[in-house]
This record gives sequence, structure tokens and C-alpha cells, in this order.
Amino acid sequence: MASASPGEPVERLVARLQRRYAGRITGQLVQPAIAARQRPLPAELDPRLAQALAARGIGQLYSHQREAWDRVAEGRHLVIATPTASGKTLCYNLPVLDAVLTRGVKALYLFPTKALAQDQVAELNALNQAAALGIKAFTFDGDTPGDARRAVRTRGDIVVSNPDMLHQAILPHHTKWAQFFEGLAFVVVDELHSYRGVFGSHVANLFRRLRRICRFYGVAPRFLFASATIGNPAGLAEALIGDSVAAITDSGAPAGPRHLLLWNPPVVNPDLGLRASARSQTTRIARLAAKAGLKAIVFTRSRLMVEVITKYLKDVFDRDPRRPPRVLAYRGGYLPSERRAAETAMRAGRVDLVVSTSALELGVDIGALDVAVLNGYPGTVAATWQRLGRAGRRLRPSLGVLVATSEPLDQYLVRHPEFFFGASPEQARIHPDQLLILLDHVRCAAFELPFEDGETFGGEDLPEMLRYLRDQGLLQHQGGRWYWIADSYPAQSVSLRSVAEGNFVVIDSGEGAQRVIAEVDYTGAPGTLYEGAIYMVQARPYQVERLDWVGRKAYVRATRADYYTDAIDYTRLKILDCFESRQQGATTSAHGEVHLVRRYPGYKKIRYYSHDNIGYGRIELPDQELHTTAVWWQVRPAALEALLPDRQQAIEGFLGATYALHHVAVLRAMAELRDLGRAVGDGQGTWFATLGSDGRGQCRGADNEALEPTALGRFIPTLFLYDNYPGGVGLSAPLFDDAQILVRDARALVAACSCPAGCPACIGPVLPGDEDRALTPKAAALAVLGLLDGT
Amino acid sequence: MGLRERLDRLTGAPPPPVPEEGTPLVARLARLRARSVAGSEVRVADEQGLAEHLAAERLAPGVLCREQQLPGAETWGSSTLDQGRAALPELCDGPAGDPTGWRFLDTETSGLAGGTGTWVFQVGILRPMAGGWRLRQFLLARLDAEAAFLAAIAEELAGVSRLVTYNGKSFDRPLLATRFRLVGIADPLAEAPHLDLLAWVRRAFAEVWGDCRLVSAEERLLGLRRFDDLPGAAAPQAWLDWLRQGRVAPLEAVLRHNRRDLLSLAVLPVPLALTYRDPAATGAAPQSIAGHHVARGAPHHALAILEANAARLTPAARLLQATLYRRRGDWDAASRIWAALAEQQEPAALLALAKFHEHSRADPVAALAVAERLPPGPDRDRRCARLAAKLGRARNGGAS
Repeated sequence: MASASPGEPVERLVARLQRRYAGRITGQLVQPAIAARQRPLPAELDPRLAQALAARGIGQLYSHQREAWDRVAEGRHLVIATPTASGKTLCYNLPVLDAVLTRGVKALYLFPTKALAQDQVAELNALNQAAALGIKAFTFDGDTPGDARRAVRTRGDIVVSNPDMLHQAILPHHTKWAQFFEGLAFVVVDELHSYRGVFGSHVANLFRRLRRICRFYGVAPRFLFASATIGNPAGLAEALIGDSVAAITDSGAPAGPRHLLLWNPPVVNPDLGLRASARSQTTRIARLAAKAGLKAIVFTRSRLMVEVITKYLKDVFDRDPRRPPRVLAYRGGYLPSERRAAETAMRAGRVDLVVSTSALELGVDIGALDVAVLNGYPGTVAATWQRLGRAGRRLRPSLGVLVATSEPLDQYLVRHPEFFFGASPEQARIHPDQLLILLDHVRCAAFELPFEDGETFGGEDLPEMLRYLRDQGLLQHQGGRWYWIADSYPAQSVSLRSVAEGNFVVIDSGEGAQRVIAEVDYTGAPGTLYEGAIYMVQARPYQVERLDWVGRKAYVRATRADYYTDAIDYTRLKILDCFESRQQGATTSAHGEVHLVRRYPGYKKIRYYSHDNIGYGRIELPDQELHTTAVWWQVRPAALEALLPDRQQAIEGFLGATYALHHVAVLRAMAELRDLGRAVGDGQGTWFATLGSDGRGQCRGADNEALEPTALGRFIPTLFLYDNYPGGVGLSAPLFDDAQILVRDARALVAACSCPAGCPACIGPVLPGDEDRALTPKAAALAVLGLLDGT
Repeated sequence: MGLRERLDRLTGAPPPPVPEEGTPLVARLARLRARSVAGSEVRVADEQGLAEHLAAERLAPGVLCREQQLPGAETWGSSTLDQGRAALPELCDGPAGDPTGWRFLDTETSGLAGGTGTWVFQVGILRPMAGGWRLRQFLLARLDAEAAFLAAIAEELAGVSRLVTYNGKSFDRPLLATRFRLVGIADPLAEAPHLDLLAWVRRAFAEVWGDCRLVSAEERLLGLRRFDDLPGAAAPQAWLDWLRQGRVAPLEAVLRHNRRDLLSLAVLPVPLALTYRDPAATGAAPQSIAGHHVARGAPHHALAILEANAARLTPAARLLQATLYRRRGDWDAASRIWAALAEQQEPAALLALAKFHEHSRADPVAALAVAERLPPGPDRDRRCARLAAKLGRARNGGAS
């Protein structure tokens, strides 16, 4: 039990929660306060810099800051991965500023977003002014006016930008930056942990291009990375630059005591295994924190949930519209100006409750908070710690609460606190040689400088790719070089943030004028901007009146609807190519390439508070197609029929097994749920299985028409887990390698669940009365998992 | 599965055609034919043939140059080259320098996208010489000859004391700077004073013409009309046709187009100098020209132009005229204009007139009468209140 110092409001809140909700707290951890470990400033540090530090009250360094200095002095690439608020920034600023002062070198700082870059320049300028160092640090982003750009290029010692600008504005115009590149000694990459998945794969290729340009100007800058907690900071940094990187992970910074609670909502329907919603618990904890005078942040997993929880909290705290709001929503998709205003309000302490998605996981400076409440497990141990790390003022106690949803992962974690507390954070993975991403960057690189015969770029066959681009009329080979000859600017059509392109803008067409109020990325658009959808901004509901799919615009109007909407989607897969397969008893597991068609036939209307389903609407949208990679399992028909002769039961068994496997696979692939999709079908795209509106499994045909399972001639249900990005980002191959472990994990998860017939924590929600069926959905799922396991 | 097949599938490209039945050799030939139809293979281009066709000299492999001597009396449109030479100093900020240091320059590029992937494949340089003019048109015939191509251009630009272009400040010059940087040759234009005639045309005619393209200036100022000219977008294609298929005819059209641009560039100073002396002569906007002279510290020129065009001045131009009168102390002339404009409720004129009555003529009564006609707003209210207070004090002072 915690040794609470009862004087602190955080400690009082913890004690109160423990007293009143002991049954809901399934695990707790107290991380004691940590004392600082300090070391002297390096003797060789430029005295002007030492003076600037002294002016800001810094006379010594934390041990990791000094270690960073020593590694940089050795000329190493470096990654610093220490907790939030441990002074990572100084780890790279100190050697960079010193080199700028003493050797006149240049540095490029990259942050994943414009906002973070602007924060950093403010920080650099503060240090700069503390001792009149005369170092020029400028931001370079889309907002930099044309006439200022020249000054940035020629006079900037430190240019602070983002990967998108490097990609679209700097590298394709590198000759304008010649002076800067010739002096470039450091590339600082902060928020390393955000460079994973598709974005990270793009950025790895961007760095291949950057290093290629640097070679042209005869420089080889050192890369200094800073990262939040992940399992493989050095591994990720090395994958990003294709070179060895030294890691500093041992922090010497002090920290206040930290309380962590794992929270399971109470069971409200024991027969169905239904628990109260995570949302209701999260709002309750946030309310208690605010009423105790503490500042709290709520993290949700979806943008929709940000808006729903914000509304509920505003209904309590912001009922008087004349007073400044105490509750703020913050998420991707808001306009930059709105986000800046929110950040300023948070920093100034004018806001008591912030509700956010992972958008605030990054190092956006929002000042100090006391409590972090996570509405649902974020999907990875690393992201959980990053979000929990948002709470904690220096040396003061803080509280983090992880509220479980009814999903299997969440339930597994809150029931096995030792797993979560003991788990090391996941490895961040990238797949820089993903063919489409690589090809995009080969194009951009060829535009920047001609490729020479024998040059390499990435792990695929470069000459073959260059010939491919030549045949598209983009390149010409002459005198041992590949020259760009097309009249186009390839970086313009390549977005680092996605594989597909084209964001949608949301336009408020009410009150005559048209005003852009938000942006939605291409993959999110069909599920959120269909006509009739309720789209929320700062908990204000708007209804989509018209969706211009080709023009990428959604026209909305403010509404007073008392419901929100949730899209239904069906996915149909067809196997195109099997890369590899394995036989295990009656089961074949395989991975390869698939063609996927996703359809959004309609949406549900859900009333606030009661969460009743109050109606359906139709969605008229083109089918979304995707070529990607997948791992799949198939069972020999005779074996399936022997075990589950009733095809309806077989389908339900497969759906339940897929649900469990999907969740286990996400944990194993260290991905997020949305990165990986699941589906059950016949593998040829002729039918697929889904849960009908009656809650029962059913078969549907190519045009979404209901099919009778007994009427199907060929019946080989196939269980798919697919990579949810065009071309795949490398998730399915490792899953194939671990296919057997996955099945075993899923089987253990379902078998160990205490529900009678199945529940959201194992095979998905079941219907009342299912426990009385001869073969429960849970038993059917276990039977299928047993078959897949080869027994 | 091959890389190409994977790419085609991922990018949704149609599958490759099923090869026709036949011997392996036939299939190979069919494949080869498919390639040349796609136009992707470099044909062994006959560079010597190209040089002969264009009547150009081959300076180095891949670098062609067509040279032409032109007499100073060569007429282009309504002027001669030497008239252009005589007019140009009027458009220069400082001394125009020895004409043999002038270089008229125009480039043709592989596109408008900008960035390091945009080529300059043809550069024309026209220059006055001791006994006439010389035009040199350089052409890049091989991609791997760019360094030699640019070296030849740098040599022709050596000793440049004034660069003359049309839209060169934002287009030709930065593109050339990029190309010189890429091949590692010092940019010969880095320090050269630059006269971009587009700026002069735009200032004079932007309000009058629909656009300020060079062809528009030619038609309106030189009386020239291009009939068989190459459309702008055709130049990149002409070069690609040469690179890919060895076609020479389109490049001939590119050189012709480039030559026309340069000749127009050389004679345009004649109508432009006239325009800046007498905008009415070419239908230019007098207030823009007058504003230009004011900015260059020649208010007497500006005033002369405004007076000469008094009948066609906009209110803004007349306000400028009044300001110029006021600056030289001619309050009568200035106040006449303000009074006339004030009749039309022109706010700036009302304001100037109110100030004139208040400060120059010390007549707050007249000033208040004018100020009350200003458009409603805090400025008007403040001014009126202040004038009313002043009047009140004056009356009280008079009474006591």
C-alpha cells in the first residue's frame, strides 16, 4: 500500500478511490520518488554557453545529459530515451549549440509536427537570449513567408522544421540550401517513437534521401534522436538511418512519486458478462479529480470518444456559456489555430480537464498535470506509459488510471496486473522497403539527384525500379546515370503520413459562409463523413449534408441532434498470391497478398447517455479497395464437418475465434487494433461472414445479400488477419512466423475467461440466452481454435 | 513474383499482355517492339544530323550552338536593335555600362515544376558587339553533357555587366543557379545587375491589359503577331521527343521561338522608355508611371505626366497630384484638387481639405464643415469633437 503523505491532494484522491472503489481496482503500483543524479558541466563547454545555463539556474547536468555530451564528442549517432520531463532537450541542445558557437556548424531539427517545432524555437531563443549567444534559430514550415525563406536558408544556424517540409520543400530544392548543407553537422530528430509504421517507413526513406544529398555536399552529419519510452530506441533509430546508433536510456533526473491504478468497471449483467462502460468510469474519475482541484487529462482511443466524453464533462463543468470553458477537447483533425489556442489555454492553467487522443502523446507543451486517465488500453505498453507520463509535476505526486473496456486485451491486462507492470514496452517497427513507399522515394530521390549505376537505395532491386520508372517516362538512362526528365514534382504527390493520399476537408456551410472546420485523412473519411453522419468538433455536433468524394470535401451544418452515428462496415477478401504456407493437422496457415473490398452499407444512430440504438441510415459510397498482405488459416472441410456439422455454428465459431485471434495478434505484433484488420470469408471473395443486426453470425455474398450457409456448395471458411495499409507495412509476415503461438494464446485467452457462453472479453459480445444453447458460441470458438491448433 | 509484377498489381496497372504464340525469337522481337512503342529506349540519336539540321556547331558531345550575327539596323517589329540599345539606359537604375557587357537571356526548360528535377535544355544569349549584335543559342542534346553545356554558357556570360530578361528574376535565373550548383560551376550571374523587363511592363500595363505575357507585350507594343509559334508547353515535349525518339523538327521550332523572344527583349526598351516618358503614347496607366517616378526621386517627371494626362486621371492619381503640389508648397493647386474631389465625397480628399483649413489656413469653422462630411466612424467623431472644442475655446476666449 502506498505511503501516502495525506497533505497532498493527489494522495487524498488516491486514498478516496481506494476506499470507495476497492472492488474496481484490480492492480496498483507506486513508483517511489527518485532522487537526482548529477554530474558537472563538461570542462570544454564554451564559457558563453555555461553562462547561458547559469542564467537559467543550471549549474550541473543530470547524468544522462552529461553522457549524451560525451557520446557526441566521440562522434557517435545517438538516441536518448529517458522519461517525459527528464531534460532530453538539453541532451541534444548542449552539444549542438556548443558546436555552432565554436565551429560555426549548422543543424537541422526535425519534429513530427509544426507545433512542436515552434515550441522548440521558443526554447532555443530563451537560452540564446539568456547570454546573448547570437545563434540564429528559425522555424521553416508551411507558414514561413516567402521573403523570409531566403534568410532562413542562408543565415540560419539551426533550422527547425518537420519531415514533410524536408520532403517537399528542402530536398527537392537542395541547391538553394547549398550553404546550409555544406555546414550541416547535426540532424536532431525528436519524438523518435512517433516515426513508426507507415510514417516511420516513409521517414526512413526520407533520411536515405537526406544522406544522399549530404554526400553530394561532402558532409556526413551526426543524427541525434530523442524518444519517449519504447522497447527498441536504438533499433528504431538504426532502422531509420541504416547505421549504428548509441543509446542512452538511464535517466539521472528526479521524479515525484507516481501512483498507478488498473481499473475494471463493475459487472452489470453477470449472465452476459457485461460490464459498465469504461466511458462512465473515466468520466467519474475525471470529475472527482477536477472537484479535488487537480488538473487532469483523459486519453481516449478514438476521435469520436474524445467528443462524447468532452460533452459529458462539459455538461457538468461548462454549463454557464459566459464563463471560460474548464473542459477542452484536443485531437487530430482540428485546425492548427484551434489547437494552438487550446495549448495556450492549457499552459496558462485555465483548463482543468483535457480530453485528447494520442495527438497529445507527443511532446506538445501543455504545462503540468496531476492526473492522467486512460479510457481503454491504448494498444501498446509503450503508448500507455507515454500517456501516463503526461501527469506529474516535478517532484510532486501524480496519479495514472488505466480504465479497462470490455475488449479482450483490456480485460487481460486488468486481470493480470503483473503482466502490465512487468512488461517491457513494445518495439516500434518500420518497413522502409515496403515496395510502394520505397518506389515513391526512389522517384523523389531521382528528381533530386541522378542515380548512378551501382548506387544503392533500400533493399530492393534498384536498377529494376529505375527501369520501371524509365518505362513510365520519368527517367532516362545515359552515360551511366539515370536522369529525371518528366515535367512533374514527385514530392508533391507523396504524403509521408499515409500510403493512400488525399485528405478530406470538412466545410461548415451553415449561415451562408463556407468555413473549413476540420480535416480527415483518406482512410478515415468513409467511416466518418458519409452523408447523414454526425461529425463533432469540440463536442459541437454537425451533420454531414453532402460528401463530394472526388473533390474530397464534406459539407456539414450545425445540428442539435441528441445522437451520434457509428458506421457499419463489411470486408471481403480474395487471396491473390500465397507466399508461404504451413500444414498443421487439418489446418493450413499461410501468408500472402490479398485483395480487399470494404463496403459501408449504413450507420447506426446512437443516443447520448442511454447509448440505445435509435435507428439506421444508408451510406452510398464507392467500395474501398485495398491490395495488402495477410495471414490466414483454413481447415480441411472434412475435419471441420466432423467437429462442427452445423454450418451456422461453424460460422459463429470462426467469428468468435477471429475476434480472439485478432486481439492476441495485435498484442503480439505490437501494433494498434486499427493497423490490423480481421475478416472471415471463403478466400475467393464469393462470401464472407459477419455479425448481423440480430447479433447472429451470417453469410453474405458479393453484393452483400444474405446467403444460407447450407446452400453454399464449397464451404472452406478462412480466417484472415490483414495489414490495414495498401501494400502492407510488414505486419503479416511476423504473424505467420508466430501463427502457432497466436492460436495457442487465443485458445488460452478464451478457455481462461470466466464467462459462461462468451463475452466481449474473449470471443465478442453474445446474446441473452446463449448460455442455454447446446453448443455455446464460446464452445464453438474453442472448437475452431482447437482445429487451428492442429488437435 | 517479379518486382515489376508486384508493382503493377499494387499500383493497379493493367496486367501485361499475354505474349503471342510464336518462336522465342518472335516473342523477343514482340517485346522489343513493345518497348520502342512505349518510347522508353534511347535511340542512338544522330547528334551530327541534328547539328546539320539546325545549322549549329557541335561544341562538345551533347552540346550544340547556333550562332548568328545581326546588324544593328536589323528591324524587329517597329524598331531596330540599335534603337533598343539606345533606349535601354533609360530603364536602368544606375549607369547602364558598356553595351558589350549586356546579355539578353532566355531559357527553355523541361517544365515549370521547379526544383532540381527541372532542366534548362536551351539557352539563348543575345549581346551587342562592337560592330553589330551576336546571337548564340545553346542546346543540350545529351543528358550527360550538362556540365559542358553550362560551361559553354558560362563562357558566353563571362564579363556580364547587365543581364536583361523577361520574368528572369523568378524563373530563368534561379533555375540556372540550380543547374550551375548541380554541376559545380560558379554561377556567372550571381552578382550581375539584372533588368527584368516584366517588372516594367507589369507596372505600366497590369491594370490595363488582361495579362503581361511577352506575346501580349509584343502585340501591343511592337505590333508583332506570332503565327506559327511553338505553344509554351510544346518546348518540353520537343526536347523529350529528341531525347527519346531522335526527332529533330520540333527542336528547330524551339530555337525559332527562343530567337523571337530574344529579339523582342532587345527592342522592347524602345516602347517602354517611351511609355515611362509619356504613358498616353502607349495607353499605360499614368498614375503607376507617376508613382514610379516619385519612388525614383523624380517628382517633377511625375507631375509633368499627371498634368499632361489630367483628363484621364483616377481620383487616386489626382490625390497623388495634389500631394506633389503640396510637397512643393503649391497649396492653391493642391486645395483646388481636394475641393473638386471633395465634391464627389472622396474621403481622402475631405480629410486633406479639413487638415488644410485647420492647419494651413487656421480656419476651424471651414475645417469642421468639411470634417462633418467625412464618412461616419470614430475618426470622424474624434476630429469633429476636437474641432468643436477648439471652436468653443476660441468663442469663450473671444467672449471673456
